[in-house]
Amino acid sequence: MDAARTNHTLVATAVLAALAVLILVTSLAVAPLVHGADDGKPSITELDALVIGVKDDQPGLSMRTEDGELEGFDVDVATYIGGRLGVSPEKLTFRPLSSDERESALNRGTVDMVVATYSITPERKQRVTFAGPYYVAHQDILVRQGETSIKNVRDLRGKRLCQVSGSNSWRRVTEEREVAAELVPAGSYSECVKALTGGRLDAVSTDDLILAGFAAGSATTMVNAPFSDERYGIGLRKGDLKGCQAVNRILTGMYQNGTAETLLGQWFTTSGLEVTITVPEFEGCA
Amino acid sequence: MPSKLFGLRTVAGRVRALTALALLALAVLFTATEMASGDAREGLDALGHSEGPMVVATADMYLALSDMDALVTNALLAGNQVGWLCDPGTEGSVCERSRTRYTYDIRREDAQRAALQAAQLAQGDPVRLQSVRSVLDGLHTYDQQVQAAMEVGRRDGPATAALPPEAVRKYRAATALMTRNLLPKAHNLTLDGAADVDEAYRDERSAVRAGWIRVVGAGSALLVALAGLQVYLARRFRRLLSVPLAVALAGTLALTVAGASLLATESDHLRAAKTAGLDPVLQLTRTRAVFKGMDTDRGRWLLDPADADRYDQMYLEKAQSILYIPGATNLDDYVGKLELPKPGEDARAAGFGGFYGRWSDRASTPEQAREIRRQLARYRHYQVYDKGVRAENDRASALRIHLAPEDGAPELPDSSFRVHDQEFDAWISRHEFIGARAVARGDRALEHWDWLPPAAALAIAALIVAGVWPRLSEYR
Repeated sequence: MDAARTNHTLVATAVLAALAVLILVTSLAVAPLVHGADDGKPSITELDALVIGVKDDQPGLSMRTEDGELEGFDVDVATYIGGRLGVSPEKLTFRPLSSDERESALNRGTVDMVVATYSITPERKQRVTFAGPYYVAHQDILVRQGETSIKNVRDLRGKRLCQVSGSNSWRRVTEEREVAAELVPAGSYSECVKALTGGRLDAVSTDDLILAGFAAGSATTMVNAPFSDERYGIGLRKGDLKGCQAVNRILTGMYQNGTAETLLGQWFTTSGLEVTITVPEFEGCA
Repeated sequence: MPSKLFGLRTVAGRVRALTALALLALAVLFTATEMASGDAREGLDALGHSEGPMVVATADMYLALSDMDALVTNALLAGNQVGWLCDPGTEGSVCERSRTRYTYDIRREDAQRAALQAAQLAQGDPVRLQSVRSVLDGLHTYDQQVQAAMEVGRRDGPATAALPPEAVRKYRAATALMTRNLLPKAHNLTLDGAADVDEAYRDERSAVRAGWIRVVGAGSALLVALAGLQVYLARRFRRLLSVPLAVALAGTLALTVAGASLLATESDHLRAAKTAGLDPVLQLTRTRAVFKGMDTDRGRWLLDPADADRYDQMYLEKAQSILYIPGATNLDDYVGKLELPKPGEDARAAGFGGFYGRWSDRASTPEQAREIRRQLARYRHYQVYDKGVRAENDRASALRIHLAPEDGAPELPDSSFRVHDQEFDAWISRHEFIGARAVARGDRALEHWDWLPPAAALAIAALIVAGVWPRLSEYR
């Protein structure tokens, strides 16, 4: 056999062999990439430390104490979820947020989770993934102890009702339900409760958990005539479905093992509020 | 020097190295085919045989529970407590058990059966198992509370007279147990199970698609390696063609093409079983139950006027989840803004969200779009009818419109409810069929793929060795 021909054969064979190796290696390397459904951002389940957005002005839910700590039902629920996600309490940071900061804080990543009387609404669901609700609060009415003429929202006709600036609760009475109550402006719900006990108002109406917190220790009582459902959700970064499912499982366990009942009892029942101690219907992760 | 290391300097060494490369590609081809067909089998199993049906069972449980509460509410409204409580099994009883009660018993059994099925599949998950158990326990309590409400509610006056306050209290406890405790748990079970199925589907389907790439890659690599071997042997040993190697080449081509087309088909079947089967079945079953619950909310409103505000709100929220109208904050407003989309426009374009908004996005043919428009018209008709019931001044006439006495079945909901409900039922059946068909086709395509890849791989390996061995033995 002449040398040129041998060389020719050798080169052709080597090229084919190298091509075979190349195809094999490339296909094996490329194949796992089809699993690219992930958006690359970490799920809340993968974090070692959590920043949690809360309110800091709602007694019973999340309120700053005199020594600067935050305490309340929302704080306890967030701590419980953090614990079950494997984050110890010292790795949890609570960051106060106002109502209109919640979506942008989540999507910018300045907070990992929002537990702040955050009602699930169709509009918000487009920007935030909601786990939960962890509680379904209801708009209810707070009156002075001994008041018997107000049994439900219709009885507010002609009564003096607190109108807190920046809150929509009064609209549910006078606009949505068209009950002609006499609106009395106030700066905050704690002002409302003071005016109520002082006799300058007949009723205060907003979410029952918020009322229960403000009412604790004052001479007021809950009517227990709920007329709306406010589903308090746990806000997560839009798209963190894995985290949402994990949080929902944690919430189911929180109700099953009695933690929810203990916490609700600890923060709200002194006001006479009847709390629900079974797990709410979840929104579904989307 | 690597070429020395692998013995590539000698002819025998080169033949051995090429053979090894071909056998390696064959091993990858075989493993990839085996694994990917296994993934397809597991995906079909999750969707069609194990978790999928369990999730559908929990959704059916939700529907059965909604039905039960609807039947109880309407029986109390129609005033037929005697027929409800009648036990024809007791000796000397002359009463006749009402049809509503029979239906209730059937739906209760449906709910219980679905719960037991869910329990079987929740083995090993204590949280889920406890949810199922507490639904089963709750069903028992619910029965007792319903019985109590029926007994206290027995009255002699006209059937449409208001219930005694004690009976209303008992009823309120029963319906609250159902709507605030049992239904949420049933729905959460569905969500949790559906999330698992989603994950299994995503994992298995992407594994099948990754398998397709591996099969095509390894198959092509094997073809090229065999071609290299063929060229080298032909030139080096002056043979025209090695017959075993040529057959191995043809066999590889056949296995690769068959494997790749199998995996592509399986990927399609998996997608069909999920997106045209399970997903719409769950979505429709849920919406059907919510619609049923909404009709019951009006019944609750009639039965328990003291809590009317709350029932109104529940009704509106359900309506909004079925067809969302931004900014509609009370029922009058909702019905007022519920204009049907213009011809050629779908619900989403008309600014509607909720179930109908999502469902309109699915419509891909003009026929489907027309079908959705027809159903939307039924939905609107129902809401207008609801407004009519609410506008009645006295309870008796409102009741007469709420139920459907004109059909000789005083405890049935109105026909505007039933036509909408039956259409949903038909859609659910259709998607159940599509899902089951996709799973069955996927299963059938996988037949023989348990023995075919190993047999083919062994045959190809034998042919390669048979092609190479005589040449190598010349160097002994």
